[in-house]
Amino acid sequence: MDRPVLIFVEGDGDELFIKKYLEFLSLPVVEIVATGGFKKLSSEVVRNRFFANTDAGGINLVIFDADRDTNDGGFEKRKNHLTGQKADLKLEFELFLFPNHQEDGEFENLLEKIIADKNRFVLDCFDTYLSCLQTRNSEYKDLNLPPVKSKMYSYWDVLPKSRSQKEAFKNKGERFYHDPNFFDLNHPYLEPLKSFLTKHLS
Amino acid sequence: MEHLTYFKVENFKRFESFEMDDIGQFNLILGDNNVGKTSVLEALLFDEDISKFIQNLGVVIYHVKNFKTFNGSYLDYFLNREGYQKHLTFYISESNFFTIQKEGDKWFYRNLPIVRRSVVTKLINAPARVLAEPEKIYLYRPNSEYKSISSLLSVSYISVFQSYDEDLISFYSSYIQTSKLQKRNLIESLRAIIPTVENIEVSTGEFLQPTLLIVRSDKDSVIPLAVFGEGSIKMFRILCEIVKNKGNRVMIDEIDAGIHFSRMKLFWKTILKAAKDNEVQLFITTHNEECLRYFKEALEEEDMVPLQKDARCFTLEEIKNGQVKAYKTGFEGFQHAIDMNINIRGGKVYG
Repeated sequence: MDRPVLIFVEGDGDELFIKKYLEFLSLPVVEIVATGGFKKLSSEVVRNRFFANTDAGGINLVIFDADRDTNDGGFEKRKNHLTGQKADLKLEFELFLFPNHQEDGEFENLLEKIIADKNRFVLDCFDTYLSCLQTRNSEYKDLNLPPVKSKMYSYWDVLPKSRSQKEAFKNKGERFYHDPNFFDLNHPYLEPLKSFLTKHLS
Repeated sequence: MEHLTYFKVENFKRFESFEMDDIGQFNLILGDNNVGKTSVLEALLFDEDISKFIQNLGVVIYHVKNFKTFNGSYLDYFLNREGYQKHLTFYISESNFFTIQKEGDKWFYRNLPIVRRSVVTKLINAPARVLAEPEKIYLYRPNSEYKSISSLLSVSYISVFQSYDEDLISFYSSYIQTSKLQKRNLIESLRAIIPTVENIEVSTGEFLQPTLLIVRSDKDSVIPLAVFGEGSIKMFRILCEIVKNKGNRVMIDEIDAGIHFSRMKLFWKTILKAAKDNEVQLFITTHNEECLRYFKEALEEEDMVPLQKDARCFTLEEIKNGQVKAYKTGFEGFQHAIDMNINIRGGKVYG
């Protein structure tokens, strides 16, 4: 890596994952900017971070969610939107969209794919719970159905943890990405992200 | 003096060329160590009255280096040594600038009436010596005596090194105490940190040295300002500068030094309000994250919201070839940076 690299993500959760994944890949842990969402690309302070790094001869990497048509996204649509923003705002960056730069979805969908296989039942149980709630939604129209983020939270929450792990999970934001009892960072679903990061950070 | 909205300097210290646009009334200057924040404050001491400008630079040398002696013209100290250009140029708009040129060993400033030109040429070329006396900057003139050219008190620049020194008492006596209006303004502002302050006096009395005394409406006895602690002294100094420099600009280096975090929001509110009331333009450096957070919180209070549009943050970043560029952020972007913990203080942050 002979040019400074700055990575832009949407939120703190993505920031932590990318940091841990860079460590896992033995790539340099560069500065990661949590922007607050794809709409914040036009924020003055975010644009300044892009410009300053470009002016210093650096490369900017944007890793955002592709999202879905239900939230005005989807891989192609979001890619086109961000490419348009890139031109309009005169930004320079390379783009990767979660979950795998091909499909619609979010960061959490990537995590769902790479959980340790033996724990797959946790997400299955959650899906059953969610399906059950949905069947009752016609009866109770104001049910607060859990979002995809709470699915992953319940995954972390329900798995057995040591006392120190519980403390780290609750108070220090630990998400056990390096722990094979929780995640498989060698999972083939991570290959596109690995290639993207390796290309720019090696 | 009109407030600056644009400023550019060439060949000043580490800057070959440095520019700030869309400057507001309340300007934070941020950046990594050695990127040139203090140099920006020093460059902003420029004055179209060249003799005044030379005096200002002399005072800066005194503050920054505390030199016993400095051989050569003051201008030599500030000239960029890396480049080949031998001129200092200051722009106050894209078309309004002035240049001091060095040819051989001599400095020239030609944009002056002929009658003053010879005087100024002597001044800017005289070997300067800063003597470590408390309040005076002296210019050494060959075959003459040391001649006082300036007072430390005359410059609207607050160095990080300044605390409760004799100069603060002299400053107050010379510039504030002599004007009823200024004194009233100062006391009004000071009430934010000492709510019952009624008067400020300078007394020798039982004290060995002249002392600033605070008179409070709810107490019979007077109490030295120094008793209120470093934060109050710093506030007092800044408020004095603001009141004295009504309509002009004041530069403050590392404003957070000596201020406890619990007082920072009130500190900011008081300073910003005083600057607004006195139409003073502020240029302020800080490294401190808490200080920035409280700047934001102070301006988010209901009575401060109208001031948000006048706030700017300039982050200095080193770009290619060692050049330095200022990236401006308005208040909305500044809020976003603080709320999302986006680095606005410059430099690189690695995980």
